[in-house]
Amino acid sequence: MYSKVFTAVNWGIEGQCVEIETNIVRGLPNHIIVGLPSTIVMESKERVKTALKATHMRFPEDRIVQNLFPASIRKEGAHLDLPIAMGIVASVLEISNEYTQTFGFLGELSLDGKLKRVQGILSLIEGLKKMGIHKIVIPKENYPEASYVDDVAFYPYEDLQTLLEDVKMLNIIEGSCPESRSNELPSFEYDYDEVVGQHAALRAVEVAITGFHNLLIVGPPGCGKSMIAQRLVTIMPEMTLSEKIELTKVYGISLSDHSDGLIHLRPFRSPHHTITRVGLVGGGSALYPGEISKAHKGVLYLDEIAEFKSDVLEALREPLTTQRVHLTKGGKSLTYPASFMLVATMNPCPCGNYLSKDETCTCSHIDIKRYFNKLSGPMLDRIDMTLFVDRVQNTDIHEHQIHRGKSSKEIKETIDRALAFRKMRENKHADEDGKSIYGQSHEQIGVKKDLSEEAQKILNTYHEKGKLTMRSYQKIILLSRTIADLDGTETILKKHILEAYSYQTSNQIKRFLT
Amino acid sequence: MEAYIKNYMMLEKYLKLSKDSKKQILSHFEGYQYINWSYISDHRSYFLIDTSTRLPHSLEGAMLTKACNDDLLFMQRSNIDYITPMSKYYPEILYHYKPYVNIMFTKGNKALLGDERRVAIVGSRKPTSYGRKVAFDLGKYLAQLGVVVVSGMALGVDAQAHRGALDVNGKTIAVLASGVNQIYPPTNEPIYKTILQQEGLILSEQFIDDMALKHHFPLRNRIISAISDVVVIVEAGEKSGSLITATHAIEQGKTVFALPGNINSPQSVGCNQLIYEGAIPLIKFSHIAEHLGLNTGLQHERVFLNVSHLTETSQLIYKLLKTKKTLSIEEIKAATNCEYSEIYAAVSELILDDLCEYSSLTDIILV
Repeated sequence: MYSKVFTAVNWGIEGQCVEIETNIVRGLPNHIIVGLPSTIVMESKERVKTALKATHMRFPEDRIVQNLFPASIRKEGAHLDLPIAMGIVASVLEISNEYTQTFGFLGELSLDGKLKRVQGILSLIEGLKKMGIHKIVIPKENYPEASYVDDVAFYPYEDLQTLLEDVKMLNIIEGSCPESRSNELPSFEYDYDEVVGQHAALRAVEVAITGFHNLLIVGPPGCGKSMIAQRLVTIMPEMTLSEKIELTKVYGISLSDHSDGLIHLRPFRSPHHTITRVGLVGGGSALYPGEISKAHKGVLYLDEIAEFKSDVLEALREPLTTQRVHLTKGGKSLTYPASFMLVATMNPCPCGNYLSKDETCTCSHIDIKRYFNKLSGPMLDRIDMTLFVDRVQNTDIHEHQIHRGKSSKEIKETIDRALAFRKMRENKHADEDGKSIYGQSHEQIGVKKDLSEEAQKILNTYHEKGKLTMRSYQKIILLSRTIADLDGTETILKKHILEAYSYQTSNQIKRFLT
Repeated sequence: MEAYIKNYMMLEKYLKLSKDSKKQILSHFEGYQYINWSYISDHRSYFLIDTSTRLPHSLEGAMLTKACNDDLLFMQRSNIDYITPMSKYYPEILYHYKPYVNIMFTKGNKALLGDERRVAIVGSRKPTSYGRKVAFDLGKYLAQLGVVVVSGMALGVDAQAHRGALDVNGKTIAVLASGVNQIYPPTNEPIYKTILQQEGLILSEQFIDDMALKHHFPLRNRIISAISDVVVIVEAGEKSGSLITATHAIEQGKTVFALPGNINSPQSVGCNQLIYEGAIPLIKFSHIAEHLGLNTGLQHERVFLNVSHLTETSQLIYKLLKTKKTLSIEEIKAATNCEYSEIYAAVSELILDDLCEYSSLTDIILV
C-alpha cells in the first residue's frame, strides 16, 4: 500500500519541501528509510514505532520502505518524526491519498505519543508554502509563533492519538485564533537617562539610529562608550512583521539561541573580541549563521574593535556593503541576511588617554598611529559616523542627580517621528519603489536632488578648498539627509550639511594622526 | 679642503685604526688636512700601526683611495656638500666646543647658514596637543618673519616646527642624527622632501648613508644650538633630549626660551625647570622676534576676522571662544542653551572656515 505525505527540511534559512513516500509490502518485518536521511532521522524509526504503539494502533509487522524525495539533499531534524509516522498511518489505514497529500506535517514525537515543539518552524512553513501546501499540521506549542505566517491554515495538535482519530474521520480540525498576540512594548533594564553627562553624544546616537548609520565611538576608558552603545536597543524602532519573521528564521536554525516564539526585539549582538571569522560571518561544516546574521536588523556591537583580529574585521567588509552573506562549503552554498548596524568602540591610543582632558597619554606618537591603523581604510570607509567622547567631570555627576538627560523614551519618540516623516517623504516620490525604509541600501539615489541651493554651494566650496574628499562628500549628503529627516524638512539645508560634517569619520580620524 | 675631507674619510671611515693611533696621528699633524700618509707608513711603530694594515699612500692602498674618490664623486652627483672648520659657514662657536665637530655634510641650500637669523625649536617626541600646536604656530610665525627655523626632524615637536615653517613656504634647517641621505624617522619623509623642495637645508655630522645610532642624538643637539641664535624648548620631559640642547645652548652662550606649561604635566617638567633655572619663559612669540631685533609689525596681535557671514550660533560661539579660549561642547550647551544639533553644525562651520579646531576629544580652541 502506497501513500505520500509532505513535510519540509531546513536549507539555510529557507525551507525545502520534502515528500515522504511510504510503501508497505509483505515480507520480513523491517523499516527502511532511504533518501539521504541523517542519523537523527534514522533514530526517528524507534520514536515513531513506540509512539504509534502508544496510540494503540497496530504497527505493521511487514516490510516498510520509506523514501524521502528529493533524495539529493540531506535531511536533518527531528521534526520528520510526525510525517514519517503519518506516512505509515496513511498506508496502514488506506486513507485516500488525496486527503493526506493536501497536508504538510511537522512535529517531533515523544515515546508516549505527544507532539513536541519544532525549532525554526517558520522556515519549514515557508518551504511548504512555496510548494503550494497551505494546510499544515503542527505541534500546539508552535502555534503562536507559526500563526504569524499568512495564507496558511494551521492544524495544531497536542498528541498523536487525537490526530489519528481525526484523520480516520477525515476531519482534521483547524486551529482557532491563538490567544493574545502580545503587542505591548517590551521594557528594558536600562535607559539613556542613566548616562551621566555625554548629552552631546546622545544626539549623534539619535542620528545614527534614525539612518541606520554605522557608528564608531572613540574615547578614553571609563567614559561611558559601552554604556551608550548598550542602550541602543532601547531606542531602536520596532520591526515590521516580515522583518520579525526573517529574524526568527535565522535564530530558528542557530543551535545555541533557543528562542520561544516570534522575536519582537531588534537583536543586539556583542561578540567577544576573540571571536573567529567563522563565528562572526557564519560557516563551519553545517554552514550555521554567524553573529552578523544574528544581528540582522539590529546592532552588531564590537567592543574594543582594535582588539579584534584584523582578518576577522576585514571579513565584515563585504556583508557591510551587500547586507547579506554568501557562504559556501563542500558544494553547499547558502545566503543569510546580514543587514546590521555596526557599532564599535575603541580607545584613542593603547593607554587610552590620548587627547583626553584630565589624564596624560604615555604612548608615543607612532604607537598611536599603529593603534589606529588597525582599522583599515576600507573599514573606515564603511563607518559612516565617528563620535568622540571624553570622561565626564565630577561636577557633571553631581548635576546628574538634579538634571537628567533625555530618556530613551524621548529619544525613541524623536526617531519614530523622523522615520514616519521619511516614509511619508519617500511615498511622495512615486517613481521610487516601496523599499523598506529602515535598513534600505545605503545608496544615495535620489538624495542629491533634495539639497538646497545653499547646501549645494557650501558643499562645493569646501570640496574645492580641499576640506572634503569625494567619499566624505557622498557620506555627508547621506548623513545630512537623515539629519534633515530628524528636523522634518524635505530639503537638506546648510545646517544639516554642517552637522553631518562634524560626524565625519575621515575628518575626525585626522585629529589623531597629525 | 679636498685633502681635509679625503683624509677625514680615510681615517674615520675606511681605515680601521685603533683609537690610540688615531689620536697619535691627529696630535702629530694637528689637523686632517696636514696628514702625510707616506710619513705615517715610514713610522708605523710611532703611530702604533702594525705592518699588515694597508695605508693609502701608494699602490698598496689604491683600493682605499678609489673608494674615497668614488664617495666624493657620488656626493657631488647627488648635490651633497660638506662644511669643514675652515669653511665660512662653520659656526665660530664650535671652534672651541667639545666634542669637536670635524665635518658637517649638507644637502640643500647651504647659504641658510650665512647671515640669516636662525631660531631652533626643539622638544618632546610625544608632546601634548598644546605642545604640538605651539610648535606649529611658532614655526609658522618665525618663518613669516623670514627667520630660518632649525630643528631635528624628530617626531613630535620637531616635526611640527618644520611643518609650521613649511606651511608658509618658509626656510628651515633639519639637523639629522643619521646621514643626510638617511631619512630618520622614515615617517617624516614628506617633511624631508618638502624641505629640499623649498630650498631648505638638511645637515648632519654623520657620513651620508649612516644610520642613526643612539649616541648620535645628543651629539647633533650641539649643532642645533650652535647654528641658532635663539633656542626655544617646547615641552620637555624630565629627562628629555631637548634639555641637552638647552645645556649646549647655555654653554655656547645662546638665549634659551622655554614654553611654560602645566606643572602637573610630565611633558612640561623639563621646560618649567629651565624657566626656574633662568630660561626666558615664552609668553609671546613676539618676544623672540624682539630678541632678534626684528620688526614685529607683521602679526603682533591676533587679528580677529570678520565673521559676519557665519550663522548666528557660530558667531555666538566664536565670541565666546575669544573670551574663554577653550570650550567644550557641553560648556557651549550650558552657555548658549542651543540644541546639540545646532552646536555641532556651528562648530563644524567654524572648523571648515579655519576659525577653530579641536584641541582634545571634546574641546575646541581658536586657531
